[in-house]
Amino acid sequence: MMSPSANPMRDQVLAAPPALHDGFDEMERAARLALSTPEIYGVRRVVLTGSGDSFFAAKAAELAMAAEAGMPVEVRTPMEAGRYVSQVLTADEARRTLVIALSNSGGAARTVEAAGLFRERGALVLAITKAPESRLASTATKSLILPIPPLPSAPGFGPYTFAIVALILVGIRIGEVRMHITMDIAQAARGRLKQFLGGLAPSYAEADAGTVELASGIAGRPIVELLGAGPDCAVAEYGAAKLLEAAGHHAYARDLEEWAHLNYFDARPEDISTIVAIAPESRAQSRATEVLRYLDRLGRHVIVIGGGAAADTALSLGHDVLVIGGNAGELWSPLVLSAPLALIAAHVAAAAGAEYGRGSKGPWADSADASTVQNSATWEPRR
Amino acid sequence: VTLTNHKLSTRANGAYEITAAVREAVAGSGIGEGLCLVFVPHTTAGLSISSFWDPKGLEDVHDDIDRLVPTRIDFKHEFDTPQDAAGHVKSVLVGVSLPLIISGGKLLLGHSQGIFFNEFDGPRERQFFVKCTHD
Repeated sequence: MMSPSANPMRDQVLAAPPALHDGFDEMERAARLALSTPEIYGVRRVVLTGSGDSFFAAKAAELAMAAEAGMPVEVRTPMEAGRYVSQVLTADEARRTLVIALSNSGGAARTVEAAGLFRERGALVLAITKAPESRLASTATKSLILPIPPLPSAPGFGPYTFAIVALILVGIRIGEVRMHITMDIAQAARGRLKQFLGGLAPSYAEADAGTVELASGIAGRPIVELLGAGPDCAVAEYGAAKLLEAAGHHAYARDLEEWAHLNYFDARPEDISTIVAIAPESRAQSRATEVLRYLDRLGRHVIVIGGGAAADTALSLGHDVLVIGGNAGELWSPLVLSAPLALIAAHVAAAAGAEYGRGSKGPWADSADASTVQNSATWEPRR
Repeated sequence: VTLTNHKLSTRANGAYEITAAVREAVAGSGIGEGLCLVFVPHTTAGLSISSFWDPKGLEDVHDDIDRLVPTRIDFKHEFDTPQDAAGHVKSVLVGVSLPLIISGGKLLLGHSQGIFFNEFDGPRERQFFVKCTHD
């Protein structure tokens, strides 16, 4: 769907909450029926794989899914999952692995490859995609089709949030069937999730107003660094990806703790905007508070998005803070905190007049029609 | 005619005695001679009359119901859980209603008989109804 406004990415972010809420019941049913009871009982661990937004969605949902499912969940890039992990598992381990392969288009070459390599080893492979006729759906054992409505064409936000919700729902389903949680608890969790999604729209609207100014604050800095911990580390990675895709702005993400080991030593602190994404209930609040003091002494331009003690500290040090409501605990916080980061990227791109994905022109022409990620030779193991 | 609703929270699968609640409903109805119907509006629970003297006897009942209908993973009903699927079968076998006699303003029960709510998919929030009518 084309957007009539000058900022389609912003439009897509603001269109996501009603789309998620409207699609929830269909997604819940799809998640409930995606795997049979014997399949769920045959699984001992879950591997989530996908690239780009699908990878970030997997990381964002990993802990929520593991908590609900009562089962180990790990996230791997498709390159790592397919060419490495699938090849070193024993046959028995592979047979007891559920691989959830995510690709919105269903055409990401490496994800399709990973799905195929795991299937060859006997794993159960569930595709999560919006495209039922895609290569991924036809390669996987089963598919969960996301009911994503047409959204304004822009670097993705809606599909990313749909993927997170789908993974949480699959986690609830696995936990329920395996009796890790009772049916009543499972149903209550679904109800809370739906209610939470229904309350996101005002949070996103509030974030939109605040992010215009934050975007202008970082636009003049050549580097944007995003920090997060736990599920919010995925938020940081997602935020960096959106700045790259939407505005071509140099951005990267780092785990909050790893920052103190590495990026603390960057010799050009004045060139860097550091955004800390942290849920009010985050287990990393105490560490974020320490890191904020280091950032302040380094003279970094700092923005805290989220809330809690870290936000209070940033405010007391005179830095920018965007407190965002609508949270429902740390494990679901990516569904809240990702929106302001996408909006910052949207506003940075709009202010710079940047074409999304550099318009796939000039030296970026290879990326037209997603060729750089969809047209790639498939690897086959040596027999 | 009276109709009363009663709530209970089950902690796990098993038999939960509701005799006292049904007796109170009968007494509260003021009916001297008539019928009492106890009804469970659930599909994974049931009602039964059994001896209340030895709780182990109630466990025997549930153990043997479990032997008849084990919780297994090959039920065709997969919308909920294996325990839920087994619970549906158990509920059908045990039944969801009990007709009882009111005589002399009291529930007519044998000296060992108790009325039990049987949970087959617990823990759950449950309820049952008691309807009392004159002859």
